[in-house]
Amino acid sequence: MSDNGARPTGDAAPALRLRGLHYDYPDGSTGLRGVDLDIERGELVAVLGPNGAGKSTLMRLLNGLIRGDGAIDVFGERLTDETVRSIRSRVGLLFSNPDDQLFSPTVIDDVAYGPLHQGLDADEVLARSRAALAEVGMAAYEDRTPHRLSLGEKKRVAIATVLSMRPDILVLDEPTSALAPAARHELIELLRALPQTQIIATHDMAMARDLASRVVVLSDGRVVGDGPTEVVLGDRELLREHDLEPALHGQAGAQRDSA
Amino acid sequence: MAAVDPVAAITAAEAPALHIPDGFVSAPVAAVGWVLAAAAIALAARRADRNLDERAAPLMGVMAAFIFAGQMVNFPVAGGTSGHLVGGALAAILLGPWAAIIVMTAVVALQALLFQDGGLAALGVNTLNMAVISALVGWGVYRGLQLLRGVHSVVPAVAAFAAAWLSVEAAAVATTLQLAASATSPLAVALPAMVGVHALIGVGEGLITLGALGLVRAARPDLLARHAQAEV
Amino acid sequence: MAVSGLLERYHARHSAIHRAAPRAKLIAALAYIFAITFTREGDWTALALLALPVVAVVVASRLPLLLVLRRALLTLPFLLVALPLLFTRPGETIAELPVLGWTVSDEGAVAVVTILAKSWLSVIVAVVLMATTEAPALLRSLRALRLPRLLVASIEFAYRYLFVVTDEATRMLQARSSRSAAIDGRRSGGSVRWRARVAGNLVGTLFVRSIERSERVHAAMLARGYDGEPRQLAAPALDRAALVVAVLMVLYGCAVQVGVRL
Repeated sequence: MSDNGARPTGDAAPALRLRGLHYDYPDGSTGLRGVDLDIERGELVAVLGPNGAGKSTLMRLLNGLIRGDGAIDVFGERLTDETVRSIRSRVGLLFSNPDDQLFSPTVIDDVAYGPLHQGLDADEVLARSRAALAEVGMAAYEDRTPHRLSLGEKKRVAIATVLSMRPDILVLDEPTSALAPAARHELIELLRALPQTQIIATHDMAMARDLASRVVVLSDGRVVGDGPTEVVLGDRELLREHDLEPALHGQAGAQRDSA
Repeated sequence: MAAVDPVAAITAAEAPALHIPDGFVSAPVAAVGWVLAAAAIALAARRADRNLDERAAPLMGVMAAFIFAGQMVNFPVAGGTSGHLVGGALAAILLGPWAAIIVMTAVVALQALLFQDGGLAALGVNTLNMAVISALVGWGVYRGLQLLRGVHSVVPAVAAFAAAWLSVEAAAVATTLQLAASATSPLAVALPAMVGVHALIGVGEGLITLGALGLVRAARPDLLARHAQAEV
Repeated sequence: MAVSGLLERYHARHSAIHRAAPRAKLIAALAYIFAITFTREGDWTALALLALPVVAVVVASRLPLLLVLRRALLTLPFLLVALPLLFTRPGETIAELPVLGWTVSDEGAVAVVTILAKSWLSVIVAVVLMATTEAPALLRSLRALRLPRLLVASIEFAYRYLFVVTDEATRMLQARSSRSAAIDGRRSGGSVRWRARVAGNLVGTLFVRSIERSERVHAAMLARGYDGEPRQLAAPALDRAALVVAVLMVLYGCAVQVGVRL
């Protein structure tokens, strides 16, 4: 999947390096207050945090959709006005609501959108689009209208719209939100099978436990926890302090009074 | 009485009296309609593109879906009639005249292509009436009355209501003239009838437009300022 | 689904008409309807000759005949605007309204029946076009026509979000209905003005949500490399057979209109 051999990046550079990342919303309130983070190639990192912690803001910053203070390096390349378009090719962003991400009349139009805007020729665009649809198991849905798909199918197609651009890093915002159990399970298995470096913002602690090798806890715009999944998710004190419900079997009822 | 079955609401709104089917306009009238509509759209597309840069396409598209859905929203007036929206003036006040023409054209075209609501040969005149004339009249009246504010204190609400009401009347008059020119409808009978009926329909249009603008002004005043200033 | 009346369920019935290139069908339908529009009042020969290929296409499309005919009746209410012709056209009296004493002229009747027939035939053409063509394919064919790109892009976005926004509107209407209980014998629902304001607020809310959605869609486009230059997959190529049939149909329509005038 990866075709980054010719790119001018140092081999030693991590997939993502964030330094002093700070972001204020247009209304003046603060979204991120100094985030430092290194993410190595091939890592699968879950970003947990309560609502309003800044997860979605962080995801959008990584793709250059919004710009804050501080530095974002993607494989050693600084994210600037000049590099933002090429970095968007390398950092694929999955939005939490597939109805926002799938904006074309048919599935194939949507999956082809990224490659078309990468300037590829028509045959290559179609080949990559079909390959991406096959990868998410939606090859038979080319000519369907996104509106007619189930939420799980929409999420898979949305992932294909990103995969067709052949990114090296996937940034996923709430990929499992609102999914029924079966569709959620399928989606987790799909993500597990993908070779890219992945950063997943989520409320789904069970998915983080299942899928991620590393967990970062974001709260009030700061990184308050970072480590191997078992260690972070085992730190009940930390999770309780930041309103995160531990994903333990039989614990759902016990959490009621902590809210 | 106030309870509305949404499905019934949609079918009621699907056939407003302004969508002319094929067969009702003569070939020359249909052809002139196409030519005038095409010229207005070409101009509007260029102006809207310039005013809205690369945000234009998604904004226009979602706005057209919004107008389409907004036409579903109706309310009972009396005696089984209901007030509902055409939307030309609302779109023009919210988005500016050029963007409104594109948005309303997309609505009218989709209604004709997908729902046979309005004819295909008649698409030119229908676009002219519901997209071009209603948007330009709605915007012109709204802006015109706003300018008068310096001379005489016209409340913005009056301007919006008048814009919506007149936009519907103007579209109805244009429709009637086209039907008369096609020898489909005797002008002496049809004009008073259409003007009268749409005087009532226009009240619904005006009230909904007012309510919608009131909500936007309360919830997102920045949107009114953003789109109203940038145009022309 | 909130938006009723789409003919999508007939797309599964495959026929040569279904498979023909959407672009050829769209242009042929438009041109043929224009040819029908040229029919003069009372020219039954022209109408009959123009109906022949339409019947052939309906049969070839294997669409249920009743559907096509019933659907075509949907435009009937509009006939109201033409009915005054019955009474206003000068001509020989063929009937008289009982109480009012208005007289129906033969010329007026001919005019109204002609309008009805032209309209009906045209709608059948449009119904066949839609019932045999998937909406996205039809809209995609617009890309190949010389239309402003902003308009084509807007129409495609509108089609995509039509259902999303109408679903949203339907949910809001249902919420309004569920709170609008009536007590028997009492006038309920407030004044017309109040009801209009509720409807207006609903539309305003829908607008704000739609603007915000368009901003998210724009962000999603940027994230995938959008730079203000819309790029789309090309419209499917025209297949020659469909093109030939389309051209023949249009030429036939023109020939009929010229022929009956000679």
